[in-house]
Amino acid sequence: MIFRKMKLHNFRQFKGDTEISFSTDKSKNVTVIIGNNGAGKTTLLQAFNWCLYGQVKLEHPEELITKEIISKIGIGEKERVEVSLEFEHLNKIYTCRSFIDYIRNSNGNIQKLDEDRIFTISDSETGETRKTTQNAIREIFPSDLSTYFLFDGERMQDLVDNQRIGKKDLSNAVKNLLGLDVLENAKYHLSKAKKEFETEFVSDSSSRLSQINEELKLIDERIEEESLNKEKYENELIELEKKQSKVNEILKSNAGLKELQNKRIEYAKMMERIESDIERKKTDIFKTFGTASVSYFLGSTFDILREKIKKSDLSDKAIEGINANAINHILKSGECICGCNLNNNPTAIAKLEKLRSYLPPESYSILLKGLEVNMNHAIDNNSKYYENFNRMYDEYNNLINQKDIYTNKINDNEKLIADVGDRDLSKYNDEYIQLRNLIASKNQAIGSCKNQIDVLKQTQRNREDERSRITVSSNINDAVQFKVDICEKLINEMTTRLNKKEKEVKNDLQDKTSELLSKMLNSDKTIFIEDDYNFNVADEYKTTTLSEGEKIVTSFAFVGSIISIAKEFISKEKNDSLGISDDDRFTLVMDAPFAKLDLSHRQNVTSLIPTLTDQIILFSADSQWDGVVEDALKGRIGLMYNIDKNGTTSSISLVEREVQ
Amino acid sequence: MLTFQTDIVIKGKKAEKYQELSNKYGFLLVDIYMMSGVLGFINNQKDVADNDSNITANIPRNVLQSRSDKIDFLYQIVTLTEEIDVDAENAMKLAFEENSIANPKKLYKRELFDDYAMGGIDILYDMLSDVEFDKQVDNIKDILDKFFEKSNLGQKTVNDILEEEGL
Repeated sequence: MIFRKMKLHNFRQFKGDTEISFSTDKSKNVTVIIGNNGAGKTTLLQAFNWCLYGQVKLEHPEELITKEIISKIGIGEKERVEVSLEFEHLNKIYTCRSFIDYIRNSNGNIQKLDEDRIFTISDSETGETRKTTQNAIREIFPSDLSTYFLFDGERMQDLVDNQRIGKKDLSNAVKNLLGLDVLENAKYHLSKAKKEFETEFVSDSSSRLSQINEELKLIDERIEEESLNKEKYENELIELEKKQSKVNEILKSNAGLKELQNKRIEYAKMMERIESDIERKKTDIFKTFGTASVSYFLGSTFDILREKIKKSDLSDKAIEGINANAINHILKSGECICGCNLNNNPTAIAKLEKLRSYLPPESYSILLKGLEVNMNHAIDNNSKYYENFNRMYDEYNNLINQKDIYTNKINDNEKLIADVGDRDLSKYNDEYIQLRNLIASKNQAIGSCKNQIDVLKQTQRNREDERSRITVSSNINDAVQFKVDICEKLINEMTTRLNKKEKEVKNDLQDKTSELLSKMLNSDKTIFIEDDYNFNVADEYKTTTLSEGEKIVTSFAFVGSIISIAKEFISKEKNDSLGISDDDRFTLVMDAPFAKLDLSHRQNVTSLIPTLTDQIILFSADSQWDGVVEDALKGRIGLMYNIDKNGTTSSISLVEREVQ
Repeated sequence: MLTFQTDIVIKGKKAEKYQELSNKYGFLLVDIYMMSGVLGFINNQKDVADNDSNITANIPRNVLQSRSDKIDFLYQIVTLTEEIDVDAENAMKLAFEENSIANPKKLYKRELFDDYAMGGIDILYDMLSDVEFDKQVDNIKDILDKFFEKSNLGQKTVNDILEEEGL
């Protein structure tokens, strides 16, 4: 079966009508749909699931129609969400149309008015069209198997990245492809029947036997309960690990941003310190200027004053070697040292008194000398002050330069942050830690369930042994034993056959994956899938550790081999059950993580994609659709689309683009 | 001994300038008073107080007293330089005249310096106001460099001085 066309009406963000045709050309078998993250690739992928099986693996799966459209529905008015898929199978054209009609009732509430999935079949030769049953699609494309034709990017990644999820996917693939789930169900029911039969044994000590039977019944219930709990925890663990992986991916992809944000903090701290140092230095400079510049300004007048003092002869009027005490003595004695009598000579006394005023302690020269000392001191300080000021000024300028350097660093850093898109990463860190703790507690709960089951099984065995011991041989018991033995034999036979078959398919998967991987990596590689679905990759010498790029290549190889086995299985089933050897064609819809492929592998892997099956519908992020990918698919692309987001109406449209 | 009996109170526009410079640069009012007196003197610019504004700038007496030695030195230089040509002996008397609590007369040298301080505040204000925040330090550096060129301060370096002092 291959897809021909998909029509969407108001499906999620695809408002109004959107139509997309898929290439059915045998040589140009690839249809490419390119869109940025969030543009609607996953929604388109899920539109296949919803249309065919009514399942949507998206956030808020109940919101098939946008709130915006819902809000515009008037009272009594209707609006429809619809997806129809046209596909071709064995020369017949099928159409599957799923729709839901919504109406706003008189209370103003929105309610579902109608919901249906309609299949029609038209004969390409006669052109006759008729409705067919819903079972038709299950025969053509069973939902269990559809999962191997629809691969989203996350699942591609999980196949190799998350061992737990990948293991489950691979194990489910093998089991589903073989129909083992049906047989396992049969095993389960046979075991139940066996246990029922065992309660029919009779004993001499019938009260003890019935007590044992009662206990075994309870143990069975407890084991089933614990097994269900364990399964529930394991499923929850898978979801938690998926979430953790997503958060980890975000943190990894934002490692650069984190580094830039750390730098932002570091630079801001540095800037704060520099600015505070600048303010402190400015304050020091102003303070020094305020207190020291007075004598600095005044210094220029000192020479002028000195010159004026010199001219005034103020400092020359004293007689060297004579002091005021000597003059006082002369005045007291009444006789000058020249012999002149002073008693009747007021002129001479006045002269001596004048002379005394020039001498210490009344001396002008002393005062002037003191002034001179102060002036010299001021000049000395002025020189020191000027030098000190220049040093502070240099330090200030150094700080200003540092500020400029950090301003540039901050600006450059902010530009880089703006380029990658700034966002708060702390919530992701918190979420990662929270998830890690939840995973640890979930693992603990699983471990506890396992222990509990082991203990219960041991008790079960003990009780069963005891029951055997007290059971008496009788016709009744022999008949019961016969039924129990048959059940056991059937279970054992079924287990042996299933194991054998499972091993065959696992080996097939192993061989096909190894072959594809070797082609994709251009070197001999062997995949070993162990009993528990862990797998290892080995080259010709020894087991190797895969690089991130090689892991993605391995997931492509797994997808290719799973689809190949699925094709064989479906063809064989049809051949066996319907007796027809069909030449049916198969499709693969995948969201390919090209960006995660190393450049060296991108060419090889991409060029092999068209050979994986008859029709390939490939989703790719715009940024991943580079020259290498496009070149590798040259000549194999039949149709190509861009998912365009209309900025003003937030609606999405598909635009066909020219194939190179 | 120079004694300050009262605060120095500056009023009007001049007081506004005192307050503005004090706020902008963190100068003490007493430092602005001393810088203004010297700048008024060396630029020969005297002035009197005005009453154009209610703002006052108050320099406390105790602050003045704690700086009395430095202030007196300024008074002496200014008075001597101004008066010595007229009457040298009188100039000495005026420059070194002292007062005390017992004799609280207003000294000529202080009146003279106050007049210059009133004129000089305008010069100091012109030098420092209207300067962008980021340019304040550069402006002060320019002022100091200009005075350095004008005076003979540059003739002595710290090393010269240390050598002279035998250190």
